[in-house]
Amino acid sequence: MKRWGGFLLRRLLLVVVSLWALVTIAFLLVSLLPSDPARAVAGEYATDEQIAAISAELGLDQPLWARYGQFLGELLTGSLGTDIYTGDPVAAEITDRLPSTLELIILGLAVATIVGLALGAVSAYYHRKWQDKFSGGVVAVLQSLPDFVIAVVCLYVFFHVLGWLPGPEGQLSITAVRPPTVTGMIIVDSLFAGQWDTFWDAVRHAVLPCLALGLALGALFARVSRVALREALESEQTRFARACGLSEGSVLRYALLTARTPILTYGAIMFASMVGGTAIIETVFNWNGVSQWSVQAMLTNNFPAIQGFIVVAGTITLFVYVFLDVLTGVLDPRIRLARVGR
Amino acid sequence: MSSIGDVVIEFEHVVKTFHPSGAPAVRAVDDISFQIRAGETVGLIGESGSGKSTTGRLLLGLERHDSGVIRYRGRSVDEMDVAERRRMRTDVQVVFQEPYESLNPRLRIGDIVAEPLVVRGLGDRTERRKRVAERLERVGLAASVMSRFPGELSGGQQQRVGIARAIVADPRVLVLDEPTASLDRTIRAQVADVLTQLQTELGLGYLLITHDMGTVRRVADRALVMLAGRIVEDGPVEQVMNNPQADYSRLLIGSELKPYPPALENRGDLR
Amino acid sequence: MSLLTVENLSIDYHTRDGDLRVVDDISFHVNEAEIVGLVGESGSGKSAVIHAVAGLPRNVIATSHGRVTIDGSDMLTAGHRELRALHGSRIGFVGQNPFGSLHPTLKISTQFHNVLKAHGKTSSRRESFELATETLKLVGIREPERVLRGYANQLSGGMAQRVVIGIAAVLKPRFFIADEPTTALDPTVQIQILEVLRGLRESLGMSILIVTHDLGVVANYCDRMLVMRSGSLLEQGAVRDLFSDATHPYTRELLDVDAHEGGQL
Repeated sequence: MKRWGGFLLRRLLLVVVSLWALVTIAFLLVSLLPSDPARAVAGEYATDEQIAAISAELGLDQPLWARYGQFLGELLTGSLGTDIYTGDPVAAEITDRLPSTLELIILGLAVATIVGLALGAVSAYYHRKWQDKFSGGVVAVLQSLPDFVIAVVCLYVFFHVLGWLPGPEGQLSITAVRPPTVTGMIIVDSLFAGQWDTFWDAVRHAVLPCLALGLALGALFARVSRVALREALESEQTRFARACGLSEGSVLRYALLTARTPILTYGAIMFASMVGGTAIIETVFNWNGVSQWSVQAMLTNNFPAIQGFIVVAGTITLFVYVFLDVLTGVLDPRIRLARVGR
Repeated sequence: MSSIGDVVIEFEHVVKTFHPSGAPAVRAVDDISFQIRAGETVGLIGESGSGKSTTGRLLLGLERHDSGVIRYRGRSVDEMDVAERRRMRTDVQVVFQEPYESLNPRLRIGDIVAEPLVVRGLGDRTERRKRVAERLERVGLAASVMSRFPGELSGGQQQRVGIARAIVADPRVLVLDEPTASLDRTIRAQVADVLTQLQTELGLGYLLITHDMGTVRRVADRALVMLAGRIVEDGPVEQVMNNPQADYSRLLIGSELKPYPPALENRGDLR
Repeated sequence: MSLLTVENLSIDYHTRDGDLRVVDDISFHVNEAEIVGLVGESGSGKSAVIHAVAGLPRNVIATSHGRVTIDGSDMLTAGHRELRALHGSRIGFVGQNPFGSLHPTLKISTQFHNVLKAHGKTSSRRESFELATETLKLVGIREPERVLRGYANQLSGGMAQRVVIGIAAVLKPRFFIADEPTTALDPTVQIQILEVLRGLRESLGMSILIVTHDLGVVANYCDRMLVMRSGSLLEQGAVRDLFSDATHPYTRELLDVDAHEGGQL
């Protein structure tokens, strides 16, 4: 137990230091942006005085270290600054949209895991036979299609041609009643509120974006799981398991357990990279998520918003990796337990 | 056996302790002392955990000893300056156990053997080629093997390449870490013979680290038995192998399975 | 009484570079409660032989000819279901690297339980635990409960190999194949493991086919031996006879190497 305490403490300290580094880098990167936000806000026809006034208002006339200090101070009070165009607090804008993106990521990853593991397992188990080649072909096709192409194809087939699912109108149809906000995720909140119609509507709207995301990610996932499973299935451990009469199902289960760590690691990486990475899917489906909002912020030089997003996305990534470390430590006795006996 | 010269390596009361996190400290090498002379092979026998591998790593400079003295040609390594230390690194080379793992599969044999020369900036391309060819021939390989890849060679040939690479920069001492363990029986004998021959020709000192008694008998002049970081027996190889004194050496050497069935033990024509 | 009969076994490996005859028309047998040593260097085909005998697939496409009969079942033509029923209950297999065979993240007791469950020989974890404890005692492990509750990485090489033998022998198979079971172990531990195998022969009447390159193992633990080289079976016979009167020059060469290293300088 003492070992665990020390380990966690060191990890948390590292997280704090990493967070500070992250925040500083976010600030520096944004301050290095070439164009002048004041000019962008003021518009094309503004006079120099007006630009100067807006510049002062935005605090851009202050020296770098002063702005840094102000930024850190605001952070510590929980403020991520103010959106220069809308005037709303950036923190609020992010918390409005983040749950929708998380919903997308979680469901999308679930699809990706199923698709990826299935394709990877088939490829690994039937190595070099036709099933492997077929599965490999599917993976290659999926991988070479950009996610918006997959999204548009899904829309075309399931919405336009078959009419089974709703079109790109966002998370809910116009007539649906939004549930009271608990988590911010509509599917979850409508479940809590018992609003079955809304729940069902939200689910139907989520199918296509999550499917598109899942297929796009699943291809990458398939490659990783294929390699990891292949190695496990060719190992002496598999030979011994078969030699003791275990069924092929058990053999595959054993292999999955062994291949667990690289697969989990890749899953964590994908999760972290999707905060911001779902921008295109969100745009195609009109999903009110934070990824697409952040891209807009970048395109319009909305520097507080960009800063705020980097901080939030970076923090999520950090915590995902800490969680991954702890999880692999818990699951793998080799890491947990030292050699005991002779 | 080759003629034996001056002391070239000396360990005096050397200690090395490891501190793995979350576990008690381990004294891998616990006060050991021995010498290696030019042209002499010292066989270091022990099981896993005995400290024999750590001893080899200390000699190669891959680990730093905690106390005691390690001397190279009379000079303590703690007192050496950068140039002397670099000289020692060149002079003490290693041949590893797994030939395939120590040879870069993407490089040609010629490049692999020439690497130590390139790293130390010795000679130009033509000189290097000549040296590499010469060394390969010394270990019994045709110079034409220079353009091949490790994957095309057999285990015994790969191990010879490892030896050629180890001697290309004219070392004085070779650390041989289980050099024949992963080889077939008959090949093992051939590689052992190559090593003995090289020693005679070049006057090299060998530290042979192994748990294979057969190779020790064949190649070594002296034998040291290690247990839990200490040397429990030290003497001429015939004496240690045929008449071990310490209890553990008796156990270890006694556990070597005689290559003839008990019933035939007394037949003179088998030996 | 012959437990294993190999008749005119030939095996071809089909690789991308072409077909290779790795085993060429070999025949031998192993009797009940007999320990037979299969000696050969790399490339001799001994790996192919034991995998075919054990009915284990390899990572290469192979075709076999001839017959391999264990206790009445033909290993070359048996279907998956039949083979799976035989594996573990009639045929045990132990490899070279115990840490490669044991699952790294499952408890030892779970690994025993899964094998017993696969053959329908247990109805609860409690029952498996008891059977496993008995078996571990049989292979010479002094604190079986502690080992069962732990994991593979907590064991030394020798103990891990004993556990592997235990799992392979828990259903008391009549025929055991050991592929270089002591090669990766320290010398003092090697004898212990060989004694364990011999002990299983005494207590369970097991027949054992040991693949090894160490003539010392053959000389001291085997009743009969087979010498293979380049896919062919060069010689076979009682150990005593072959060691004193080996006819094939290759065998003599192998013995000669050992004699040189085994006490003559």
